[in-house]
Amino acid sequence: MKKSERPVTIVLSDKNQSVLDHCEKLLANEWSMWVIGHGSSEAEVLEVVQRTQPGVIMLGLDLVNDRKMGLIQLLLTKSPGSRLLLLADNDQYGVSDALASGACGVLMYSDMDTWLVKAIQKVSEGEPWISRKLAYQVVEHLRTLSCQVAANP
Amino acid sequence: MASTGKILLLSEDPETCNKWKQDLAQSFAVHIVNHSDDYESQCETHQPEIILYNLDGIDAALNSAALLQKVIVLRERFTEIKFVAFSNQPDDDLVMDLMHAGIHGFSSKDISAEVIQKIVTSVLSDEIWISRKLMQRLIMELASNAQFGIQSLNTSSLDQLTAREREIALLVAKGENNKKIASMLNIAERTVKAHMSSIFQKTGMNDRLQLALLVHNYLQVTEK
Repeated sequence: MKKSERPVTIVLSDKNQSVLDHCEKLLANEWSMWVIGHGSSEAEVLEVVQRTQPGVIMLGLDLVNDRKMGLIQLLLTKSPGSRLLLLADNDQYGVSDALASGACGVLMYSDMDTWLVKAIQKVSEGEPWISRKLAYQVVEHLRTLSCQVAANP
Repeated sequence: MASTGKILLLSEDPETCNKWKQDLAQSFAVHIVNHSDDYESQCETHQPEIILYNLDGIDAALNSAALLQKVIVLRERFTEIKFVAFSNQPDDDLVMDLMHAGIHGFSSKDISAEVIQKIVTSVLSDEIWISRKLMQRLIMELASNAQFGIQSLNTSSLDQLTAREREIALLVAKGENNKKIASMLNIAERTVKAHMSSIFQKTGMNDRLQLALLVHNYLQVTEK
């Protein structure tokens, strides 16, 4: 089977069960994308990711913020081949931290219906997924921080 | 869409200037600056909202460092103005340097009227315009400069490892402990520990988590 024909395996994780249910529904007719696990707590997602080694981990930002991005790094050590797609609202500072910690992309909850499938596809292919607007906000935030670090070595 | 947005085109190539002016004049007020010596004074005079800078043409005779310096001077002096650079000979490293210098977008030069209008509208709406690949690299490099986590890891240190050391590093990245690694590779646990000491020394990592993330970064880069 060619790499492009292999289904994308996905673990869904978010504190909100209705978000997990909605994602499953959106992916139900995507034969090339298989949901192989869920988690709605840090412990659950760590266990299922280590056990299943998914191609894509979808992770709600609210789960990450509890551990200040350490969860992202921990997940990526448990499953080094996985790519992480963050689900977020408009919390731009959490997004900057998450991207810097290893997340491959960010999808807004409000954009899920339109872009979920494409975002998973792109991230699984190794491409980042972030809107131009959000990228601008993240870049400006990081540029400001870089200047502060440079001014105070 | 009518707009009072003012655009300054910086280019020593008249053909490019005329095409862009034609493509943009319906929606924006466009002014052309042909001579590189005039760039700063014209920016001061016209106070545009956005500068479109053609890096090709006479400026192509400059080496990358000199070209970057020209852009930095303009960018630092006119901080409120959005800045997009264009070139048909893109050098990823130069593009990244320009993005670090604070420009808001980069594109090839030979683009349709629709695309250049989209670029201008997008950047004026506080969006970034670069390829996905470079977007990811930019965020990672900025995060490293901002001393976020361990994204400043230099994965080239992994090239210094022996084949066995790389094998062990990969197993560490998968979360295996020394005892399990020894069992999997049919070697003594003390041998694994000796290899780990060497791996930490060669890579400069302080612990297994850092090593795991270094390996993860390396795998992501080499897969592309």
